[in-house]
This record gives sequence, structure tokens and C-alpha cells, in this order.
Amino acid sequence: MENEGIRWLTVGGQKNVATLNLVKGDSVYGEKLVYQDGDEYRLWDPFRSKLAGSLKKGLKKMPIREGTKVLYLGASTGTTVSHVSDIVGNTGIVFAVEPSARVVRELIENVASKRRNVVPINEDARRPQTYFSVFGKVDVVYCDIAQPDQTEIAMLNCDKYLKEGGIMLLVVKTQSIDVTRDPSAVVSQEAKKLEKAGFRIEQILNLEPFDKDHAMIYCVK
Amino acid sequence: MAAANTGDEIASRSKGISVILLELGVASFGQDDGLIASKKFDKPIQSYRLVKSGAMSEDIRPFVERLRPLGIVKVNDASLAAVLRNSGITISLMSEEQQKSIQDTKPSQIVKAGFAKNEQEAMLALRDFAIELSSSRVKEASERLDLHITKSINALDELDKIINTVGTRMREWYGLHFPELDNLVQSLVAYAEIVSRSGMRQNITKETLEAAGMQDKKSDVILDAARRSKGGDITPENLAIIQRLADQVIAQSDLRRILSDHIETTMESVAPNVKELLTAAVGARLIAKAGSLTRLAVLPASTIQVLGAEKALFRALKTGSRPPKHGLLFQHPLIHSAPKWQRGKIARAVASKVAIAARIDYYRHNGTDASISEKLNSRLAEIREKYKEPVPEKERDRKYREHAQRQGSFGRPGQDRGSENRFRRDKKKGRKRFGKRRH
Repeated sequence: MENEGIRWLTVGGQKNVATLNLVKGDSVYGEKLVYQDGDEYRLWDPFRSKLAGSLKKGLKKMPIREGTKVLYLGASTGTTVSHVSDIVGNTGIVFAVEPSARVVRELIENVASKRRNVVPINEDARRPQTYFSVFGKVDVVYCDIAQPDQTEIAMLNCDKYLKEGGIMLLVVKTQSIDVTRDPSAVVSQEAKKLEKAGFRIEQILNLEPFDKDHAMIYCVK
Repeated sequence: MAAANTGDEIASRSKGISVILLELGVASFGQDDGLIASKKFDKPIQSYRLVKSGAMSEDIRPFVERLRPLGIVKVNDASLAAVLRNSGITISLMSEEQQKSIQDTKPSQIVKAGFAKNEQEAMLALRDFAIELSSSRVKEASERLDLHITKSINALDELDKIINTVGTRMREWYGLHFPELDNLVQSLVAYAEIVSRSGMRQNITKETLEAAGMQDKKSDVILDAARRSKGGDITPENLAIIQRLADQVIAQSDLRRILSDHIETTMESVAPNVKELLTAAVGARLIAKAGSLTRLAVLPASTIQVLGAEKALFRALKTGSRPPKHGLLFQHPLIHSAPKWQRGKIARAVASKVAIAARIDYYRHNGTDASISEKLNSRLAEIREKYKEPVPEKERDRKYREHAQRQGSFGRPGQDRGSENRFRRDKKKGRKRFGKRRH
């Protein structure tokens, strides 16, 4: 994968994803720091981050690279956000949207206050018009929210903020959408919704064994 | 900026002056995009939030006055539009396209308004603004009283567990020395008081028992039992530890009382109607389960009815077994003391009133409304009258099956589950999962 920020490191006989640490010496959520060729990398746990899980499961192209502008829905405490921030570097920017005040507190403390490329937005992703401090169109929308109407919410955000030809990474949480149905049926139903709305689906990944009943959809606006 | 569709055409033809709300201030531009006036907020967070809530912020009043002679202006933000309209300025809201194009070029707008030297600086200012605004919201959210109720009731439940565990251990341990006391004193706290005050059973006296709150008659029985006890002797070291445990039980029970009083008073001020219906403890647990009073106030009664019974509910949804009748609400004396066949109906009645009570508490904040409990009581009387006798099981199942058929597949059309399936309660349907399960 020709991406400056991401590296595959072999630690303890295992191949791991890692990102070039933007804030030297800082471990955000207790992840290991690894030094290689004079650079400091942060190991990226695929069990904790669905994006790392997708990379390990063979995501064809990694749309997030240096300088990318990302709208991140469902930032939570910023585990994945911190790695995305590593990758986009100082020329890129991450708008991190999270509705819950409790976790925004940690997002600000652990991630946003130390990383100049992270903009925390404490708003509900259902109302993209209320976001503050967002400017311009973004290159990538990353959506990881546990709501039954998550796909609709993601599309609403893409409509407002994603540029033409931009990419959306959508984490499909089948258990949040419908617990009673077969997970693969839920995924294909959500994929159909996207296609109907004009998205071109490039890849659908099943995130087992890192997250069960989760899928990652890679699509282009 | 391209002036676009119908409604705005009039406005753009009149003068073409636009007023823009930015995070750092307000600015107005002429038709040629030249800056007419701008005002940087003195305190961006307060002013921005004020304007966003549709109220005038004092620091932009002179700016607004300058707009007055300009005639109709186009505004990019609905809240700012409301503020200007209230100050008597004629406005038209920009089209969505125009709003988007302003949003797209926000850093350059900030530079043009004179709020930053260059775009780089503008972006940094926007980021600082975002952090500060989010922080102030976090602070506000942490001050909300219903969150404190959640923490209080959770602490109460945990304290109960601690008191029980430590108390039982103390009882068992002291029981080696004085086994007869276990049957004579039921209350944990009273038992702890005796152990703490007296120590060895030989040292138990009328005075220490009295200080521990024992009645005269009871004291005699205990003293008699102590003299004839079959318990073994105990070393001072062991006794000292047991007494420390007893002190813990007493101290924790004290804290529990304070906490429970505190929940009572906080519930009275935050959610008096919910408290009236459910008692403070059950009401507080319901708020904790819902997440906050805000959430409880928007939940439907049907959800409130089964809050706390999620496991049973999702099992019902998956396998088609009977849905739960009540969750947390079961703790309400009205429900758990009612005959079994009435509980579901009572739970439904209570839940629907709780939904209304929570809304009154959250939106009206105006003391208790007596009509809620009146209506609930008349409904309860109706249930008790109409369903005096239990419905025979066979007939009940038949009714349920008919109901299920009428409803289709549990309100989920398109899923073939077959209504007879829902009675095979124990036989779980195997679910196909996608991918191979490795764990």
C-alpha cells in the first residue's frame, strides 16, 4: 500500500498495521509505540478500530492519505480518529462529529487538544446543517454510528459535505439496524439503498473476526 | 456568487446585499462582493450561541443598526435571519446553493471580513472555536441535574451490594464466636452495631445492647444466649478485624440513607410528576436506564413499559416468543403486588402515564399535576373490576394467536415466520450469519 502514513510492521512475529505518530511520544489510548528507521509508529489494533480491521481484511484502496480532508461521523473517544489524524498529517484535516458530551470530553482531552488537524464537533449527525467550523467539501466521509437509520444519516452528510467523486467508508452495524434479520441480508439492503442514491459501490468487506456482524462498504459519490 | 432561484431573485435584484454569519463574527457584503461592514464577536462562543438560538447579541447591535438603511438583505443563516427580522430589517434567506457556496469558502470569507490575516489563520481560528464550543457544551451537559440523579441511583444500587456482601461476611465470621446471634438479630445494621459496640460475647451488656437499639426483652434473650453460647473463643486480632467490618457496614448504611434522601429531594425538583407516579427510587432508575430525563421525555410509552427488560424483548423479537410485560416498572408496588394476570395491563397503564409525566417534567417544569394520578387510578379501578378472574390459559393463547395473525408478523411484514412458531418458545431458530464464525 503506497501510503506514507501507514506501515505494516512485524511485531512479535505478527504483521500489524501502524501509523506514523504525528505527536511524538504520545500514546492516545494505551497503544504501543514502535520505532522503525528512526520514525515513531503507533500500532493500530484491528479489534478496536474498524478501519484497521478493514485494512487487515484487504481494503482495496485506502482513500485516506496525506492531505486528505475527512468528515468523521461517530468519533467517540477518538481511537480511530487519532490514527486518521496521523495519516492525513498537517496538510489534511479531520472534522470529528460526536453527539455525546461525555465522550466528546475525552475526544477533546486525548486527541483534539494535541492534534492541530482534528476539529471536534459536538453535534448530532442527523442535523448536518448545525455543524460549526466545517469549511469546504471533504474528500472522504467515514461513518461509524450505531443507529437504525445510519445509512440515511451518512447519505445526508455526503449530500452536504462530500465532493463529487469523493469516497464514503460506511461501517454497517447490522445489529443496530435490525437484530431480527440475517446480517448479510441487512448489508445488501443497505448497499442497495446506496446504489439507489447514486453511489458506486467498490467493495464490501465483512469485518469478522475483528467485529462480528459488521461490514465496511467502500463507495464513491 | 451566483444569484439563483425564484424567491431570491427579487432580493438580489433589489440591492444584492448579503449578511453572513460566521463563527467569529458577522459581515455584510455588497453586490460586487466588497465588504460593507463587519463585526467580530467580542466573545465568539457566547455571541455565536446566542445568535444561533435566535437572540440578539449586544455586541452586534451597532452592526445591525448599520444594516437598517440598506433595505432588503440576503442572509445565509436561518437563526441570524430571525434575529434581523426581529430588529425590523427585511430579509430573505439565501438559497441552499448559496449557503453551500459560502460554507465551501468559509476561510476566505473570514479573511474578507477582516477576522483573520490569511486562510491559514482562519482555519486555526475555526479549530480553536470548535474546541472551545465543544468544551463549553461538555461543561453544560455535566451540570445537568438528571445526570446527577443517574449517578446517585447507580451509587445507591452499588452501595446496597457492598453493604450486603460485607455485612454477610461479618455475620458469618462473628458467627464462629457467637452463632446464636444470627437468628436473634435480623437487621444487618443492628447486628453490626452490637459487634462494633460490644466486641466479645462476654462483653455484651445491657447498656451496649440498648445503645445498639435493642428492646429490653430482646436484650435479655441475647444476654442469655451469650452466656450459654456454643461458639468458640476468638483472638483479639480476629475480633478487631470483624469490628472494622462492622464499622464499615454502619458507615455505608449511613451513606446509603443520605444518598436516598438526596435522590428524593433531587427527584422532587427535577421530575416531580415521575416521582409522584413511581416513587423516587424507581423513577430515578428509569431516568438512569433511559440515559437522561431528556431521553425519557421523548420515549414512547411502549418503550418505557419494557425498559430494563431488553433481553426478554430482543429474545421475543428474534424468536417470536411472548414479549415482556414490564421491565424496571416491575419494581413499582402497584405492579409487583398485583395479581399476575393484571400486571401487563397495569404496567401498560402506568407506562403511558409515566410518558406523560416525564414530558410535563421536562417541558413544563411546573410542579405536580394531580390529574395524571387521578386518571391512572380510575384506569386501575377499571382493570381490577374487569379482570377480577384470570383468563384461562387456553383461551388466552387463542386470543394471542388471533391477535398475532391480525398484526401480521409482529409488525414486521415481509418476514416469514409463521404464527405457530411463536409458541415454540424454547426452540430457538438457528440464525444464519454471514461469513464463517471463528469465535
